[in-house]
Amino acid sequence: MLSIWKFIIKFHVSIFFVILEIFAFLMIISYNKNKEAIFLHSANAFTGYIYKWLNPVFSYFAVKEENKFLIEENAWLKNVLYTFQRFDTAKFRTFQDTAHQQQYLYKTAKIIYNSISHTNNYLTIDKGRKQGIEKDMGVMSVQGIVGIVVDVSDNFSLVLSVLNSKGGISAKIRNNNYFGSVTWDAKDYRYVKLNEIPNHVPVKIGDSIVTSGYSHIFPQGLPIGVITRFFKKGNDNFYDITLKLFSDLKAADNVYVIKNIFQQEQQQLLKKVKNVQ
Amino acid sequence: MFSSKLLQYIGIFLFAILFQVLILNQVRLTPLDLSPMLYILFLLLLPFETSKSILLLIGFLVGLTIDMFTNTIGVNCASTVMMCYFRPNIIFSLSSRDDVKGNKPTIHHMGLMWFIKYTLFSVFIHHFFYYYLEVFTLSNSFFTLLKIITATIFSSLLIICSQYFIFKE
Repeated sequence: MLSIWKFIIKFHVSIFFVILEIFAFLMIISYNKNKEAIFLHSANAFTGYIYKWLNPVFSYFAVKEENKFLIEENAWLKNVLYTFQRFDTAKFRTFQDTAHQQQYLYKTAKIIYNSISHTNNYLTIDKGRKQGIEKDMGVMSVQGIVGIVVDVSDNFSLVLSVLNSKGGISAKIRNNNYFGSVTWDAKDYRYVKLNEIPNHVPVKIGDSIVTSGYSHIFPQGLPIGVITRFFKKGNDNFYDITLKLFSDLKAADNVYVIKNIFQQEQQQLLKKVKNVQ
Repeated sequence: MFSSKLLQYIGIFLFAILFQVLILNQVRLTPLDLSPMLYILFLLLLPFETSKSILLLIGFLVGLTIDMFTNTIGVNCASTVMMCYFRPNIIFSLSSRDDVKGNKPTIHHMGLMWFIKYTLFSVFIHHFFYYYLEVFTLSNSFFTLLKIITATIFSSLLIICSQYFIFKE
């Protein structure tokens, strides 16, 4: 017994060191597995408020750029709107559309913390549970998709960025509807990879990639990026495709949060089928 | 006497954390999108006499604070603890016990060359563990190493410059 105490006293620094390291590693692993396991991220109250208080300073520099995008989007929306109006007035009658039901709701939010330099990047936005944000909502900027909400606190939410090696967003080629998933290889914040496209599919440089709408998170057809490079991998049956993202995540500031009203219903249906199998 | 010293270190701590979180984390050096890390400075400046266990504990807390702000739970923590564990070894391999007596680990007490070596070794240990733990894989090892070396140079430069501009005493 005495020798054990002697050992502990002699090596107490190293033992303490090992304990702290084990503790840190456990945190890394549990955080990698489940975002809610440890509530020490930047969407918690303390760090959230500090970032929110600081945000005006940084967003001031982005105002000019942001305005330009908003005007562009407004112009696009106006085009769409007037196209539909003309179509309606040509009919000379009003009709009730019973087939269409609104599935997606959009809300605005502001990014208060953003990172692009890690391997697994997260954003914090300034709205949370109290403002109606829930887990698994999509987040997009004016230019294109940004990420998916993974955790919410009362007033803030944590968003898994597209630039996260753990993410995977269901996407398709707009021209021919072949679908795959978008992931990040943690190299350049402007480029991501499109996986699972078989190599018999006709692919061109400059093809637009949009969301597929299969994931219950994003509606169909939201812009993601354009193909800048593709080649056939050695023995694999799939292409290696590199996309340039439409949204500049370094400058993203204001975003839309997308709520899928039927998300739960869709998920339950899927669960039921899986249980049967 | 003691409390004024303690206050001074708390001041450096707050400055290092806030400067890191509010300013440096918004900066991205373009080729590899790295943020330089200045907050390690606080751990480098702790007095020579600090006991090893206290050093480890402070390292852990500082790492955890930064982790909370950057959504990298545990990564900074593990690397700062690692750095604090090796700090005494680095110090005593660079200087004898007599050199250290009555001095502080700053440029003004220990000289420029000593401080450069001290900073480079410590920052390299920190960044080495930081970037490998962040990626959490050994594939793409060369790219990670490139990141580590670039980041070490930038962070060390910043830490050494800060000695001339901010902590003049």
